[in-house]
Amino acid sequence: MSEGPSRRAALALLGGGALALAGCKPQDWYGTDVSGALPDLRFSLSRARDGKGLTQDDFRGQVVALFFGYTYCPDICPLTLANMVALTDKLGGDAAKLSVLFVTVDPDRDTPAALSQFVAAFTPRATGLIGTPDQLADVTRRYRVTYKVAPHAPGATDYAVSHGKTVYVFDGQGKARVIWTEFADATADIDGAAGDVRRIAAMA
Amino acid sequence: MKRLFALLLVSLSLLVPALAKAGVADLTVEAPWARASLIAGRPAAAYMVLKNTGTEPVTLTGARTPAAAMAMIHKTETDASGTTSMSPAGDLVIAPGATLQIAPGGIHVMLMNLAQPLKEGTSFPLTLLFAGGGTLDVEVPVLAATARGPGG
Repeated sequence: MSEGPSRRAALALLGGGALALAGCKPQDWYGTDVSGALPDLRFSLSRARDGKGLTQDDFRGQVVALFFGYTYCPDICPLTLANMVALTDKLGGDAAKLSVLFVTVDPDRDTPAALSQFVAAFTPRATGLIGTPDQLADVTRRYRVTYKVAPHAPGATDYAVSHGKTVYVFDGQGKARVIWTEFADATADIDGAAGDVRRIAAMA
Repeated sequence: MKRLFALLLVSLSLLVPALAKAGVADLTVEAPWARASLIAGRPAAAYMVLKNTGTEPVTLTGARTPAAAMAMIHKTETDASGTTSMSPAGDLVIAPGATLQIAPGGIHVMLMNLAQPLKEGTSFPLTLLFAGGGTLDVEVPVLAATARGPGG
């Protein structure tokens, strides 16, 4: 509290400069800037729709929004995908520059057919991806995605899964640019996310 | 006959305060909705806003619906690392004048073992259960899979 007056004075002195900076804030992302802090996009997974093996190279030139979930998830995962639909609607023609990758952390229950159907119900911009245990471990370790599938008997359909809800966004060269930590929320800033996608698309 | 009637009156007078104590009469439900099922066999979630306009707290303890073999109030929580998980919400007390948001990313009515997939454009009855034995019937419209809130 005692710092109040001097802090105000300092702010008053800086006021002009601060305002000038605010006018053109080049670092102003909706997401958290992770350029140089997270590894490039790299994965080897199978496309749910047809089983085709895909890697990062299949998405060169695209802004990629990568996230993790499972089809028995009734709340966060469909909300994140619904937000992706709102995002592609907002992007309009620029939506063609965005690929949404949804990786299941629950391959025991998520058959390719189910995952494909789940993702396709939202947007054709989204691709459902399934990995072997090693492939899934590779991609989740790479981005330090935490997930936990409760122990269950083979064929069981009733068990708990927890998973990271962050969306990882890469540029057309596969460089990690931002992460969206609040995108799985009902109040996700769709305009802000669209701004990030357009800006990243312009970088590549 | 007269005695029976008197007995009935006494039972009724006992019943009414019990309901009033549960506070359900002073509870309003707004904007109920559920997301259409994407795939058969997957659980669903229902959402709404509950407002306690009364002077007594009310406690939401559970739900039931013919649409699902099991309905539970669940809570989605996110830890410091951004990891999200679901667990039973336990008893939820709504203080007088308070609002309980049952909304995506927070609290939801988890519907497990659906009788049939929820179809967009239909609706289903849901009964909310409260401490003290109060119940509240809600008709829940099923919105598109891409809905982000009660407005679609």
